[in-house]
Amino acid sequence: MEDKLAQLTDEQLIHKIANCDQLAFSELMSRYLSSLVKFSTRYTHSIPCSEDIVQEAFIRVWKLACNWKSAKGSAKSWLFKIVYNATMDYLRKQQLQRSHRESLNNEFDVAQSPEKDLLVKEQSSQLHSALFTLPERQRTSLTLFLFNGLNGKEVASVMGLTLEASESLLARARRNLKKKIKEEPFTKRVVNS
Amino acid sequence: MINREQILEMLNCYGANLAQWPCDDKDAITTVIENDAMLSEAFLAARQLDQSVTELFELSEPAWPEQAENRLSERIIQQLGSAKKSQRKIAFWARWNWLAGWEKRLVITPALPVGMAVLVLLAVVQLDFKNSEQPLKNSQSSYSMAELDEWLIFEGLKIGDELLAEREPDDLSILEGAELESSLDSELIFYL
Repeated sequence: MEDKLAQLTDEQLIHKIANCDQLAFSELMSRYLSSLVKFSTRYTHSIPCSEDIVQEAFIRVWKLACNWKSAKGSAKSWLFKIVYNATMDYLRKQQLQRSHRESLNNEFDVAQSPEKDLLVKEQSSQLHSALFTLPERQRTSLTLFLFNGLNGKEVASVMGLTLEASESLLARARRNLKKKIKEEPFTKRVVNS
Repeated sequence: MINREQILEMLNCYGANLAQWPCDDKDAITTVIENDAMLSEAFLAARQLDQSVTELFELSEPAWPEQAENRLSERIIQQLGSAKKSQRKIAFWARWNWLAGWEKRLVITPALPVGMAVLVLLAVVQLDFKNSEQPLKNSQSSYSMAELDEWLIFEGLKIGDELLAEREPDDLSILEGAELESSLDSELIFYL
């Protein structure tokens, strides 16, 4: 049964969830729970907060699955959109956006192993500064596109933009990133390595 | 066919991963890039940027152990019981298709005779209504000749057939009556 569910597309799973299929819901969670929590944590810098956000997002998916229409975008972009909006709401409520950049290096829990931790500490401080000084929307579009594997249309759907606007945002993000990388010698070395 | 400028725009926007480009003729694009030195250089630069940013994302990805994932999954599943699912507004005709065969028969079986009875009742009511409308129309237009004769006899202005049979054939009053009748007829016709 679970093998069969694993073969279904996200859209087919959503249709099953609309008919109160908990197994389909579990399958959808297993596909996206981790990436959604990590995506949200990039903004909140707090795993417990992101867990709460994603939990609420999945409850919302369970409740509203019957209202989802494929014409509005893919199921994946719908999930990311719910989490993105909830995260932005959370940030607005907590008024974290202003102190976002200052708290970046202190609060961000990126360690997975001691070696990786060292490497991250060495590289990410400068790489982060290149990426994380990008305007929030440019960074989000780049994160969704490069790291979460969404296509241009899906990025547009998550961010509530037209395809042209999301393409323009992605192009500006890449242009700014290239410019910042050129200005940072260490980052340039990493990029060229 | 996509041209050089368009490929550059795509590279600047979507990077070097052609799978994410929103176009179909990717083989043709690859050929164009391979045969153009400037495009090849731009493609390599875009690929380097993609790789380094992806590495950066991977390195900076927050640690989230599998146990935490399982714990959260369980927490969400537990909450589903109390979460009330919203009901989609389904049109009647769409809902009809979801009815099982026996449910449809259950609805159709009494609906057919009731529907027929309603139709017959409507037809009867309409006929009755048409009949009740008839005298109203007549009163506003004209009387039949029989009704006119009846009225004239009642008023004593015309001699009925019975009275006419009782009279003597040479009775002059018959002629007088006939003259009177014809004059009254013309008068009545004038008024009507």
